[in-house]
Amino acid sequence: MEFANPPVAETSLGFYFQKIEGWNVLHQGALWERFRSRYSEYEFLPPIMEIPSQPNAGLDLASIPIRVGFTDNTKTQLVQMQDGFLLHNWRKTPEIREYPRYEAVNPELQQDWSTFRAYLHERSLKGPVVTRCQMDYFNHLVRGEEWQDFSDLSNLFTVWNGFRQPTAGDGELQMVSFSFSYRLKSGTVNVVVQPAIRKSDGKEIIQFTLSSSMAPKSSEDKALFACLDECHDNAAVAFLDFTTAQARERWKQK
Amino acid sequence: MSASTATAIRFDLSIPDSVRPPQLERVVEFESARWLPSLLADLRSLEARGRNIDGIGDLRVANTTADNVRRLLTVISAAPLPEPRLAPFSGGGVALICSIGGRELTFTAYPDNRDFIYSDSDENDEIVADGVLTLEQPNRLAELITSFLSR
Repeated sequence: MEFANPPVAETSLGFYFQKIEGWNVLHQGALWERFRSRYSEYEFLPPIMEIPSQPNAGLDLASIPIRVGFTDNTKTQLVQMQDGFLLHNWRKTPEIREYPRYEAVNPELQQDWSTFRAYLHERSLKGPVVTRCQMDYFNHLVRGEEWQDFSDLSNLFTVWNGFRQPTAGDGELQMVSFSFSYRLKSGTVNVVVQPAIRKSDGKEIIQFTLSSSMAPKSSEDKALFACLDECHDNAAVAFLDFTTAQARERWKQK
Repeated sequence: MSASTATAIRFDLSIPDSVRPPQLERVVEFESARWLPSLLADLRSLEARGRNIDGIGDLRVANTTADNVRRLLTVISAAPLPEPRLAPFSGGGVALICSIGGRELTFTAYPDNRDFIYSDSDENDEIVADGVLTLEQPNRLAELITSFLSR
């Protein structure tokens, strides 16, 4: 499946794993040195917080969750890391708008993962126990370009049949959002369709997030990347299932 | 939380709650404030069908101005402000006004300008604070809102 003008604004693929014994904030900085030749910049990101299982447990200052992105000089390719996951993101920028496709991004993650594993090995830390492989697509459908009002959603999504505009007075739909999740033979696909404002330019968008995840058979590299390929295949099928032919024609499916 | 109980709270407007990990691009969902969908609909209406009134002027809001107001809304929708209202004015600009009793906090957006003019006025229409603000000053914006809510 290939599009000349896909709606994707950002992708993320990678692995979620159990917390690594002995990992602390100093490792995060030391790890950047290993990535620095490919990712010369960094940015701190809001950490993904877990709800503490023991509310009264003391705060371990050495393992405060820090989520950091190591960014290449184009700002489009980025590896984000927190104790618990390593992901490779691609994002659209005003200068580079073309999505390089999974086949090009996957080898980037392979390098990232290899660098990470080598670091753990050198520091005599245990290898990660991966619990989930995941691929996320964040698609932005801009109002005025892809849609005009919420009654247009049925032209974009097969799962949304919509309903008639309110007939009382001159009323119109102000907002529609929906989400669903379904389990496949292997893996899960989650879809969220939600109106939002993009902070960077103030545009109204429908954010169409498609996440495909799966538990790997083992934490060996071969199994992990095979699992990620399956996540990608599931996401591609789901994208075809949930978007209309009319929308895909607009995105110029090849 | 009512506005009157917000005295001791300082709002951190720099990190939106709605970023879905592992997403990087920051977006603010319509549902982040109960009044947001309705206000956005009003703003769209001013963009698309704003009126040109003889003797008063052209009250259509320029697209770039509306984009700028929406950028502001991504920040202030996180604060417990009362529902703002829009007041377009001739020349393509628009003011966003929050009122508590007779007090008003106003942010004014002008065409082709990413800055906002703000003013905070008391019950007697006396200006308590005013100036120029950009969205790259989240701390200043948080201070303004805190001050307005805590008087």
